[in-house]
Amino acid sequence: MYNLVGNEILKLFMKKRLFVVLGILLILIGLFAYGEQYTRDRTEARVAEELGIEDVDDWREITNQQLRDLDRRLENPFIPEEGRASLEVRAEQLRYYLEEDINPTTFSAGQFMSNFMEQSIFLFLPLLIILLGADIVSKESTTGTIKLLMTRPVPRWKILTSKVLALMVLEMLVIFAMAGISLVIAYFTFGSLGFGEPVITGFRIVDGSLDTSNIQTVSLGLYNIMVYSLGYIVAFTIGKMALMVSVLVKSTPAAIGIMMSSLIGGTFLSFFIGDWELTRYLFNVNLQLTDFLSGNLQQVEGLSLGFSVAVLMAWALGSVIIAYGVFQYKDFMD
Amino acid sequence: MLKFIKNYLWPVFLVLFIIGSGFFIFGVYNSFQVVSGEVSEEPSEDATENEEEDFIEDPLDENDDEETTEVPGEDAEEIREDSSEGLNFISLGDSLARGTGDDEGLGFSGRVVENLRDSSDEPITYNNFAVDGFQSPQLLELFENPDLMEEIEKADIIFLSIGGNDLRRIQNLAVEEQERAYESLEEMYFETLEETFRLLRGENPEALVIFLGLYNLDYSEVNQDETEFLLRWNAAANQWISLEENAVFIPTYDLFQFQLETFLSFDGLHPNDEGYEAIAQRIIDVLPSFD
Repeated sequence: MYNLVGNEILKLFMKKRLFVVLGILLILIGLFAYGEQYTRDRTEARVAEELGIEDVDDWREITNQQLRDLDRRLENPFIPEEGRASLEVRAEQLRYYLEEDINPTTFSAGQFMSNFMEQSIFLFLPLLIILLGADIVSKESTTGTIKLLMTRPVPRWKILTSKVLALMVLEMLVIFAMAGISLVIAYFTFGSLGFGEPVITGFRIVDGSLDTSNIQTVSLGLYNIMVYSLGYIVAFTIGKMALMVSVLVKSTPAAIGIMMSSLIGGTFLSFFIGDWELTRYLFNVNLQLTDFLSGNLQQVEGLSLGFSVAVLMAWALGSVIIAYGVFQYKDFMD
Repeated sequence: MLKFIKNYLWPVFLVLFIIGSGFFIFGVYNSFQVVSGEVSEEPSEDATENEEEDFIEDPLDENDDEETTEVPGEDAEEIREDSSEGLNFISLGDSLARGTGDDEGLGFSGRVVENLRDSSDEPITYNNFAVDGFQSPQLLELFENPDLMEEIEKADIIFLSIGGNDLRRIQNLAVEEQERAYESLEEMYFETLEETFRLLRGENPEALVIFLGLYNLDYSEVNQDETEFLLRWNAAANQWISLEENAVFIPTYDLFQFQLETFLSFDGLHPNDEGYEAIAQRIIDVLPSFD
């Protein structure tokens, strides 16, 4: 088994596609970082012009005032419990910035990393995984090597298992590449890591509205681990689905096309029939796992982190079952 | 090359994969902790409601203590007599009444009180019970608190700023929906205001209510339609308040009209020191003499 998976990894590395994906990541992240920096510079210049601020130390004054404001609000005995919790974490955040002498408006590599994953988790990351995973079986059908594979004295399920495992390693490699490349590029662009900064999280959705009574702060480093872990769940599910399609159809372009159209089409579908209860069982609407951490309101009602992860796992499991079932009995000799 | 990948790179990947899996399990576990970990701390909704009430009552008790130190005397009636000698000011409503954006944290109400303290020897007590972001229904809800009603009963002058956050709700709507939304908002607002005043007057028919008009909705961009809604709102509120007994409407739109840049704080929404001072000055001009 160890050797079989090693073989599959070898096959994946021999393809140019992996390096194309890494190249896309490199170029896109570079562009994003440049764009972010550019927008920030312009906003800063505009704000400075509007407020007449030239002194670098001025952010301290503004932060101090915001903090005083928050503290004064907290003194009020009539403030609702929910408002109090959010005021307290915001005050905590500002205090950290003051203590650590960090300008709260500056952007750190850690923030860029988590932003990048939050933005790519529902479309860009799945596309990369589809590019890599959709040909894992179909390419062997196209080139005819599957016949060679079948003649070896190895059971079919073992062949497929080695492909599944190799794909899982590859999915993780993509996540690591996203984290690593964005970390390095953002560090050189923005100049600070910022993994100690507190991030506000812990939002809940109660009766369709955002409940902030449980919010708390975690360090940006931990937040990044959380965000990229959720990214892996998405990569895992999409990878299994791509594998299934790859088993079902013979040609690689068809496999990629089917996966991409279901990914994009499903997202459109959820826009149009968002209030239909069954949409919440589509994998598309459950891809935005990081929104549960960052507190963006969901467009489909009744979702929670546990529910979404369960739905994604069910899709992955279903795909694997179908893939094994078909692969075991499919006639590859035609 | 092939041998290298198979013999060395693959084991490295395997180790990385195992380490990575550990990381990701840790990350997912933490995500679940953060999102749902604290649900178990809330046994039921009733319990949290009780907690909230406690929370509201406790700090107020402290407030009462402070007042007793200011005005010596153990008997409650004595305190009331004492405080009725001086002037009792309270501030109710939203962030403007609170004084958000003011460097010194006084707000217009605090500045009026400071000014009066400077110019007269009469003892003045002042309490600010405003809450940022309050809309009219929330203020009405607050009136269910008996401690607040006690404060209202003792008050001679009540600063009131409410409605800005109600009206801001139309900002998010499409232009063609705004008219209808405005009408229902206005109707609801004045119904709530009427109920608020009924409760307030039931407790204290004498106190002078100083009601603050709105100055602008959104300052980042000038939107003619929204300004029109604001002026209609102000006009309706002006008429409504002016018809009440012992109440005065303080217009602020004209005050800020040409001074937005100098009067707004850095958040672009609340007045700054100068803005609050200008409002306070206008209120002082309007106030009757208390001698």
